[in-house]
Amino acid sequence: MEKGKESDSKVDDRLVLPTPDMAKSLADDAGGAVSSETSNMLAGLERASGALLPEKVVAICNLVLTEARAAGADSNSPGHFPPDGRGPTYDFYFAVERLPKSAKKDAIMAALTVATAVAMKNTATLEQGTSAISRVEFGLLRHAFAVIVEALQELAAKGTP
Amino acid sequence: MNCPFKKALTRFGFVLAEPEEPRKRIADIVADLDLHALRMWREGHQTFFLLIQMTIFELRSFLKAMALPDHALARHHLERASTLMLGSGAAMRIAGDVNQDSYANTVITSMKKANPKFSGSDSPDHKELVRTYKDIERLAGNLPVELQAAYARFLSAVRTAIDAHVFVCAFHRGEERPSTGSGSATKLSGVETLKRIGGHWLKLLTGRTSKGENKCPFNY
Repeated sequence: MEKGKESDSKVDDRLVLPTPDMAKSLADDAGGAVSSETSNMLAGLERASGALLPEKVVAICNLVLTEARAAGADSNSPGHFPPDGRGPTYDFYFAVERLPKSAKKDAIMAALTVATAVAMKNTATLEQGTSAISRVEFGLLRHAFAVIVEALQELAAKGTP
Repeated sequence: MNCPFKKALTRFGFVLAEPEEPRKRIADIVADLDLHALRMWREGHQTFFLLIQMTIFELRSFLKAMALPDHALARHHLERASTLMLGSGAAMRIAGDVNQDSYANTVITSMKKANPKFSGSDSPDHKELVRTYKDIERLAGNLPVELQAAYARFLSAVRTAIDAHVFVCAFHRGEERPSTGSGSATKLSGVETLKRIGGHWLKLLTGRTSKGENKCPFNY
């Protein structure tokens, strides 16, 4: 299989996500500290979700992603190729990598924050161009991103001593 | 029409050779469209997965609040889940916003290369979402009055997300061919398959799967 080659060329396109179990565990137990880097990135995303112009959203998300790279929050994936199996193949096809099982709350929160910044940036970039996506659909997505940021901020606050 | 003597006639100067440039330009445009299609397909799905993960988080938080019971908190999480679900439908529209030929020739081909029965139901996030729906099923017929409006909105959001999938599938001629997940082993079209799966989710969420009776006050 040529997975190695393909993956190397897609490094910049990949999205690191928690496993669905981790999303569940966040709901079950919100305990655990959240680093100041993650909190800062979330504050940046709050500004982005309040921005009216898509170009402003892109600019703020770029700053958040630069911050994430500096903090190493965008590279906390296991970085190895998934074993064979339909689920991992599905993830591999869409360039999704999962956090290792040992990931703690801060790593999960950081991954979700970076993933939100990537999704917001991609959507706002698309909003600036020509597409068949309506203003209503872009509006729904903006509202959904704002909900994610709000939920993550609440979770971060629960981890603050 | 192709002339069998064209090569020889061109060689002796009776016919001028066609310039390669326009063909190359067209090939470049097609290649760009194909790359764009693959990128939209991937980015739209990545956004979709994030929204589904956060929907799982909100629905689990809803279940936890119901167990307390804290109905105001439960409604808060349910309303958020509805917004995220509506967003997931819009993300699916982005994923499918590519030209039909690029989808048929490049996107489908790449999916089948990854797995001959490439299916959205293989997504780990999708599997967990369905497990969460099954846990919600038990509550569907017993929701307190103050939560019923929020629950109706959530069901409506789920239907909108299903409709977005069906729209994308139909736009890419999914009424004419079987779903990629079936590996062409069924006569059901992609659109019919999606409608069936979506119908099953709505049955789960309205508590109509186990005893064949509609326990939920909302008829979906």
